[in-house]
Amino acid sequence: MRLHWFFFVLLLLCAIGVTVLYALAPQAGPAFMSPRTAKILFFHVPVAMQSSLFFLWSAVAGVAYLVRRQPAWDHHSRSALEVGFLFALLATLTGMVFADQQWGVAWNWDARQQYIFILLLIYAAYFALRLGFTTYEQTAAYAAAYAVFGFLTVPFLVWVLPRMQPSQHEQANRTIIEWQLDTEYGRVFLAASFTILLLGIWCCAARVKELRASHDKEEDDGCKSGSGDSADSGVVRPVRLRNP
Amino acid sequence: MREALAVLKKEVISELRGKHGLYMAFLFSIVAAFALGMASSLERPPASIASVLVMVLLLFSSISSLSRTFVLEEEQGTGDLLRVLGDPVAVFVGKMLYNFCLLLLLGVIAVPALVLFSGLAVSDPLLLVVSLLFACGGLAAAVSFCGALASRSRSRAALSGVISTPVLLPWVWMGLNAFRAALGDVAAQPWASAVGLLGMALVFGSIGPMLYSAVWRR
Repeated sequence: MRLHWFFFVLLLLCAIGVTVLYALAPQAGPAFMSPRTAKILFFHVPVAMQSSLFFLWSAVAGVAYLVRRQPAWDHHSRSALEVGFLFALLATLTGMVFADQQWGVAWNWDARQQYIFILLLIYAAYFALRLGFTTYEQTAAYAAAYAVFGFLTVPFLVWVLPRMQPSQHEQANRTIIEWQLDTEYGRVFLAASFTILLLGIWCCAARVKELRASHDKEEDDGCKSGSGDSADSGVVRPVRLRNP
Repeated sequence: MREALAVLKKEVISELRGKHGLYMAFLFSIVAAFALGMASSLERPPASIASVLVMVLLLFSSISSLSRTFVLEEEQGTGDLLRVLGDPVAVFVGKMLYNFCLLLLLGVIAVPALVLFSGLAVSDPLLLVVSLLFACGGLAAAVSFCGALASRSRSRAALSGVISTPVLLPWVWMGLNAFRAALGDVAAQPWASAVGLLGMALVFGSIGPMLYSAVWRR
């Protein structure tokens, strides 16, 4: 609980810091049609990059679930995937706002736009898959396998495919990878990235907690109704022995 | 490997015994090739559109026929027997090989039919054949795995389509580039996409059996 509050205070401080830095940061150069809206990059780039990080964590937790069969790993895999999905969705929407301002059209079939939308579709199918099974064990195992399988597409979609066709992101990517940002811009970008990462981890931790509570409640209910005492459920019910 | 070949043999024998799956897939491919050819009958499509036609043909052929291998086992009630007697990796590899052979067969029939009906000009036949081979391998690996996942669910048929369609989109993207180059688009990178297709097929073909073995008795 104490850690939870510490995290919340840290997040709040970071958010205040980013807001101040954002307000103080200089406007982008004349290369942008609307230099003020170019500041959306402080949000758009970190969420896009970190969505892949959360998908990676989801796949790692999925492997851990398949090896150990502990529900905690399924909760981690599911929550990380949900946060990654949310981040990818936000990256898509903010990218569309920026594209509309910069190029006059919200969707212009840029390679990066295509890859992130394909990722959204792949991970949206994960939620459909989770609804298709009757037992928790089956749902968790198949969902974990899909999380791993889905992540295999990420390296191709993020690194291979966008490099095979011209993209309007090329210049921006080079600027960030080769760290050609102005000092002040770089500071705001790093602070925003760190805050968004913290926010993602916090959301993930809160969701894991919620999933764990819901899982425990379901197991308790199953135990009370007499249907949750199978060997698979991990619940041991007290057995009264007769006196000889 | 011997066990995987035995599974492949079993699939071929059971398919030849029934024949309806094979016949349906064959008919679907020809009808789709003809319909696409009819749509482009007024004007010969450029390479960018022609590559879309080829990829759409392969994509829907794979989704409509391939995910049935695992789903059929569950519908016929033979899945439990397979789980008791078989090795998961061998079962998956055997079925994946069968899917690959079936899709390749459909591709070998449907793509030349499409080239004929649409009057497409193939500028690099070798690249077309190699891309077709690698695309079929990758599509077979991905669809086999998605079919295996969906086969144990409540709504198998719907779910296998729902989960396999988005997973196949990276192949569509890569395949479009490769087929565009093979059909004469000079702007496309000729061999990089074919190598990319091979890489994806190898990654998915090697990880798929391992993941399947982790879930198949659940």
